Amino acid sequence: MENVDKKYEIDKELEEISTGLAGILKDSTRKEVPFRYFEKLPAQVIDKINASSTKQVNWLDQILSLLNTRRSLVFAFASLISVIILAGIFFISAPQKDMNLASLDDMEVRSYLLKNAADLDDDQLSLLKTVDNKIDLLNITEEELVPVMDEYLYQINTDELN
Amino acid sequence: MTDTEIVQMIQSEGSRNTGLRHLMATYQERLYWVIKNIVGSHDDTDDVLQNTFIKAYRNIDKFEARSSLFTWMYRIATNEALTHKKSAARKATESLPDYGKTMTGPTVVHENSGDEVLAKLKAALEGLPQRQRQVFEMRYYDELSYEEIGQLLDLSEGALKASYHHAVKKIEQFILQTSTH
Repeated sequence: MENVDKKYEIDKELEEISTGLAGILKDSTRKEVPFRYFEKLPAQVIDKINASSTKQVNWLDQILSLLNTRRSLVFAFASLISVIILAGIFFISAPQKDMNLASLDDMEVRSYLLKNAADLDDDQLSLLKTVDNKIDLLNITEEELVPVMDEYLYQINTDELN
Repeated sequence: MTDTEIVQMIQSEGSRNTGLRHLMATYQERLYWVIKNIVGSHDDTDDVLQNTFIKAYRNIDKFEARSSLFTWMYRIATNEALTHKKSAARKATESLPDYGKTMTGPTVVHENSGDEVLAKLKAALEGLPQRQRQVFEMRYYDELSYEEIGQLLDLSEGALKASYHHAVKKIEQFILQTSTH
């Protein structure tokens, strides 16, 4: 009933704007559907919904029945799940080494080295100095030591010498 | 039955199917014509309409009642219909022989055929600015209220009425011009 009223209102509105077009459209837009189409449609839609949900249940049922009939598959399935869980645990508990070294500034590097210098062994120190200053302090000769001392002696705090 | 009651029925385990039946009884006929205006044939319309209700049924929890239930259903129906139309057009192009792809020329409208008026209407609609065409189709063919169109297009009622008026006048003018030649 509401739809009929709406249609009437729309037709009347169109007639007020253009009587000619209203007449043309009225003749050309006959609305016909197959016999009892709208009565049958809801049952068809509900059948489709039920069929698709049954299909999903069947899919699960098939897997379960397959696992029931073949014992070896149960073990394979259980192993696969265990491997996935273990891999997940390993991944989560592994230390994060994703440090972006390029973004560290000089002060951060310096403070890290000061804190951890005691833990470095001779080989590491040797490598560090070679890279940093191009001077191998462990294998330096006396001649090489003099200019280095000249350069760094003035930085020594005289209070510390006392 | 109100929209809220229908939605609640579909959401409740024990009354889902009854809720769906109410939803369909309320909107199936209007949506049928909305879809048919886009896809054309009854068989395609039937497919799209069934899919529309299945989609609405499965996604009823996503309905937030910001607009009316019909407006929400209208969006689903038009999206489904346009997707169906696009895929049908793609299939038709893929199966078309090479010589068919190069065929060009105006659409032939047979004189005195019953479809002549419809063809003229279609041509008139195609000549309209997009917004006017949209408003005319929603108002006249899909029988939407201005309030519903406003929710869909986010336009005021005054602007919609003006667009509809202009569209009707232009269609009338087009049909008069093509009839006198």
